[in-house]
Amino acid sequence: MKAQTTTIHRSATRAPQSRTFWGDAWCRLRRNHATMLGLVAILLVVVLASCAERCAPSPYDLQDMSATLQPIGTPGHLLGTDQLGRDLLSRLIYGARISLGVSTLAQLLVLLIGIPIGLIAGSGGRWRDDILMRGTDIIYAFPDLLFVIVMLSVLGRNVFYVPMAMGLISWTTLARLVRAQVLSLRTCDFVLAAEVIGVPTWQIVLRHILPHMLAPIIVTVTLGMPQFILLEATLSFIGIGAPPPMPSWGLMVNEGFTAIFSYPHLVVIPGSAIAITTLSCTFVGDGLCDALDPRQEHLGMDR
Amino acid sequence: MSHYLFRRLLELIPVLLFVTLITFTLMHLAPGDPWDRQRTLPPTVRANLNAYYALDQPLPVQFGRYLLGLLRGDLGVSFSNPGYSVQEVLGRGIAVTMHLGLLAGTAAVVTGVPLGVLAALRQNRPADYLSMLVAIIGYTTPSFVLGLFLIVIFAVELRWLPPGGWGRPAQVVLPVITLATAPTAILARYTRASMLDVRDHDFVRTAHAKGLREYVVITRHMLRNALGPIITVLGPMMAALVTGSFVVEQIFRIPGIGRLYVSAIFARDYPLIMGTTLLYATIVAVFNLVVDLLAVALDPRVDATQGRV
Repeated sequence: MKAQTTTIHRSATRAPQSRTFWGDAWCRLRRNHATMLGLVAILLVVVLASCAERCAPSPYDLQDMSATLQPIGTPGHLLGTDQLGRDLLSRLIYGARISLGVSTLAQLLVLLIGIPIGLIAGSGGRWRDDILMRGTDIIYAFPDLLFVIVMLSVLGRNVFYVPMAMGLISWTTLARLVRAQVLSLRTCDFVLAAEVIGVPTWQIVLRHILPHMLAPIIVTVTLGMPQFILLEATLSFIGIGAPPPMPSWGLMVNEGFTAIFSYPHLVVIPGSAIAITTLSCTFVGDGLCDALDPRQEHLGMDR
Repeated sequence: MSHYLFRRLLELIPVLLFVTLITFTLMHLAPGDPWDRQRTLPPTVRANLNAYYALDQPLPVQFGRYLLGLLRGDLGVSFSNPGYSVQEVLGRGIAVTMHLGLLAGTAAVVTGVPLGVLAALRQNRPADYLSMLVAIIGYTTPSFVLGLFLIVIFAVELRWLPPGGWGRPAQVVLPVITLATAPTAILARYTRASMLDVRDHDFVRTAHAKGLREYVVITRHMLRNALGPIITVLGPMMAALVTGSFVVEQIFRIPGIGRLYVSAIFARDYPLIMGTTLLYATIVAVFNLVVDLLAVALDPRVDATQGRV
């Protein structure tokens, strides 16, 4: 408590604070209500997903054949139960783990592949650039969904293979973005200055160029999240994503599909979960885009 | 221009070759073979089948034979559709898928662009917020959820439209709406951003100043100049419509190539998998090419010889 008051005191008396780029961006971000709403929603989902064991009223695969297809608001089952008497709320909470986990892992893979390839292509010689970019073109030409489906049929049905397949095909946009950024930053004065005093190329790239493109990378990653969430749900819906009894939201929609006419909530609830999560991610991505690059009118998602 | 076109077409060849190679490799890495699904076959029958379809040869030889076939325009025989060649199976499927995709694409352009224009003209006013909210919801709702709801509402409750199938005009309506919603939303957002970009230019003020009607200023001066970015998203969008109709085809039981592909994967129908992937990749590449050409035609400042960055 005491420490808190002193910090407040100190910042209040300090001379006009110098504003950093990130501080500035945070100020702009805070004014965007949709973004803040999305951020809160995502944090809530993240918290629920990470402590599902504590938040969920029952395990996701606990069947109760005496209480199947209960409606919303049943005592003990806040959102009702499915055909096998499994608590929908619990499945929803555990499902958040799959949805967020898969899309985060996939994005991580995208970063791990896309950034190095973009950096090397942009900063290496003409020869490296040509080879890497032709390779990128080939992967880009591959229809995403097809690649993921073939890949999953090779690897087998396992949740961990889903982000692998998704990441392996989706890094091309990021690689192109990074390369374009490197090419334009290379002509900047501070890079020329570093070159003149003899800083090795790899150091220029990592210490001077890379930090300058963090903003567009962050935006691309955030706007890529909802697409991965949708893709995971779609794969599970067609029946090649997470295997049952895992509570993937797409799989829940698929399972509820058979009873949709009499029990629409089986589809409505997981469907809304997908829509709300992707919506929140999109809001945050849009807000970040505006906050990090105020000059450029944001053009939304590509692909 | 023709030189550029020629170069782009030439560049397409290695890309498609690698797509073929990657698919071929992955496919043969997958466990199981085409005869697993049928009742257990005696080993001799299996060996005979393998020999008949040349599946007993080393993989490089098989790949070489496939490429030779490609040169002659022969995609092989479909294992899971006995008696049909891959061309025949794909030919029937692609007609349906293209029909659906083009209708959905048209619907997306016809609704998305005006929605974006409206939002831009009423920037930061209720109409803007409302249309952008609709757009963002359309973009984030999974197509399978949307499709299921349309079926429940219009086919089951109201009984206005059939819940699935293909052939009658009424059966087209629901799948087209389902498929068109996401691209409509994307187009609306791009159009809005692009219109806001051109709004403050001098030529727009001049057009207003010389007393042109509002309608003419919007359509001839603003929209005409805002089209560039819109055209560039059309390519990936059309490609996504054709390749992304998987789910819609599953839900509405439409006999397009999306459904063919999924069943071919499960049946390990190697020639059909190869053929579909190649067809999809070609479609994507052609749409991207057409869009690049359109961009050059619309905006003389875009240098054709530069291609994309």
